[in-house]
Amino acid sequence: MASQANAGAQGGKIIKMAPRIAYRNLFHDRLSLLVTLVGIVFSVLLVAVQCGLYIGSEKKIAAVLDQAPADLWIVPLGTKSFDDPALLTGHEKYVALSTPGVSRVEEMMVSFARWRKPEGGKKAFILVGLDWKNGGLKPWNLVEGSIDTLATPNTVAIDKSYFKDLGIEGNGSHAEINGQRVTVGAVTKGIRSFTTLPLAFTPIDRARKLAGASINQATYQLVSVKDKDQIEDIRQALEKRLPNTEVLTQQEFRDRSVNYWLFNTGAGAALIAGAALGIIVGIVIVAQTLYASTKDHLAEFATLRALGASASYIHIVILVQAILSAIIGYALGFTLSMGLISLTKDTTLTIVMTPKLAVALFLLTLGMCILAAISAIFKVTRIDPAGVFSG
Amino acid sequence: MAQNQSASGGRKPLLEARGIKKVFGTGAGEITVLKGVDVDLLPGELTLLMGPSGSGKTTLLSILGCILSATTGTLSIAGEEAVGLDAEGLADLRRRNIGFVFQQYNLFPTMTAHENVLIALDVRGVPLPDPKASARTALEEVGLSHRIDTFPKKLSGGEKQRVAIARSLAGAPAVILADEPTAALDSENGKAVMELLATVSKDPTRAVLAVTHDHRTLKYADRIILIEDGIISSDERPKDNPAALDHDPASHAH
Ligand SMILES: Nc1ncnc2c1ncn2[C@@H]1O[C@H](COP(=O)(O)OP(=O)(O)OP(=O)(O)O)[C@@H](O)[C@H]1O
Ligand SMILES: [Mg+2]
Repeated sequence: MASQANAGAQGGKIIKMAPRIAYRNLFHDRLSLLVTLVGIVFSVLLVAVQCGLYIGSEKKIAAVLDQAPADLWIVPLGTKSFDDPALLTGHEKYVALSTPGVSRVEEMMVSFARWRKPEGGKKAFILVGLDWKNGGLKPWNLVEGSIDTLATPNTVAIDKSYFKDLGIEGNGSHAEINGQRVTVGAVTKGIRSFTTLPLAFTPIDRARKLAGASINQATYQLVSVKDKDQIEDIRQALEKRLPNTEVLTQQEFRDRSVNYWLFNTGAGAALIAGAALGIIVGIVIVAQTLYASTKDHLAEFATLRALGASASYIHIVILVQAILSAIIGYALGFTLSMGLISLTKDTTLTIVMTPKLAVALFLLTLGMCILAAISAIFKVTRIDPAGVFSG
Repeated sequence: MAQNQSASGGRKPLLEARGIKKVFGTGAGEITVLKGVDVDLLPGELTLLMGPSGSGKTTLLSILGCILSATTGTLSIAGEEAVGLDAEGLADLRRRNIGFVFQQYNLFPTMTAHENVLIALDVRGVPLPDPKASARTALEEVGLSHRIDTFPKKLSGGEKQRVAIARSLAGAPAVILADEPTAALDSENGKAVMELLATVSKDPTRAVLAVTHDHRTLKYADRIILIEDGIISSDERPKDNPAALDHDPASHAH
């Protein structure tokens, strides 16, 4: 006892062995490690894909919205989402412009239309009329043609990924929209809608003609205000003056569109259910293997206990084992997810990985493994040192 | 007990157990394994605990080592009361005062000899200027300087038991308890292990108690306690009374 006290007074050091025990146990039980890692990798992959699809869906639903930031959107009453086209009556732009605090108003038109393929056959699509002549949004991500070619009469821009759907060869192909002949004058890349309907962009005045709308009509008025602090006041003023419309902020319109497609249709619920399944499977597998491994090492834990280890010393061993599994499993699962994402890059399946999602996935994996460790700790509840003499 | 008191020569016991009773099970299945045992372990001595199979040796050792609680009785180790402590309190008492040596060695199979000793130093929370060097020295002292980085599966039984003894000594506990430390060993290794335990017991700050069935171990004993059917039937110091060696107490066991 005396020597111990002296050593303490001299300020010696202690080599922490619990993490090393955890590490050795983990790599000693190769099969169990393999099963654990398969469980974690499966879980990470499933959650990454489901969440990536969710983010990808959101991005598609808000593809045009996110490119056209406005302080307020004047939308027809009852609009459910961005691609739920109806028409405003036509005087809204002037009412908005004459409302104090409004600095600019741009128009946008969204309309269902019929595309007649050059080789015959029809396809419904969404025609988007943009107001870039007045400083509004213009088609982006152009890979062929230019904004200038779109100024030529009856020219539209479509996304490369829709060539097959729309039955065209490429830039310069001809087709018909609602019976009027059009030419593909520009090609974009990566602009897709959430639904199966392709998108085509054209200047708003041409869109009006193609869709048979009258000269002042539009689907949306995008309002910019002079003073952001006054957005709420201006919204109220606009709503009062335009009783057949709704006035939404950018975020509200985005949320409404995303919620409509992801939650009213059940698509989002399916993605969330898939992610939840991944998490549950992960927890169950890791909990099982960790419990089995803990049981396999019960004799060693009993010896540790006999040596005088506190319960928390043993808990640390189990926890470190879980955390190491989490780190290795996440690294593998994340790498596989990125591989899968790059494989699906040029398909219609849009899986998106963001830094936030990567961090969230890691924390989730860690949490999952810690939960599994806690359940293993509870299952072996009390490690009885009396086991040490039973050979 | 009178004999013990005189033999202690005024040395204060490192372990004192009084009236230890142990009952397993309840109702019809109830068995009383220990029926009131008193034990004092004196510093600087190797005490052997002998007796027939099922007489309660392991049970007594477990209780003295604070691994098992007595049904009734009192126990104090290095002046600390063990009765009334909860599981963590008992672990703490073991950590500070008791080293174990097991028949099956109970080494950590994924750890080298050196690491096995380091684990005990860590668990015991003994700060040392250089724990690695201390663990190495401990292994050198049990004659294993050439086996320091060897894993248990590559060690012979005797070598394993010597690692276990080095481990039990880590942190210099007052009491070393060994349950049949030579039972799994051949005579040569058994002899080496007993010699080691005898040497270890000569430290004036330490008491060693070893359960044994092995007659060959008798000559290392400073004291031999015989337990039969849950009570101590004899407690002798063969060196005070060499005739006791002729009357082999272990013969009762077979
Ligand atoms: N946990 C327990 N529950 C019920 N009975 C037990 C328990 N542990 C030991 N016993 C019983 O107590 C008695 C003494 O057991 P113990 O292990 O102490 O004997 P021992 O003297 O060490 O025997 P051996 O020489 O064979 O190792 C035996 O009858 C045994 O069956
Ligand atoms: Mg026994």
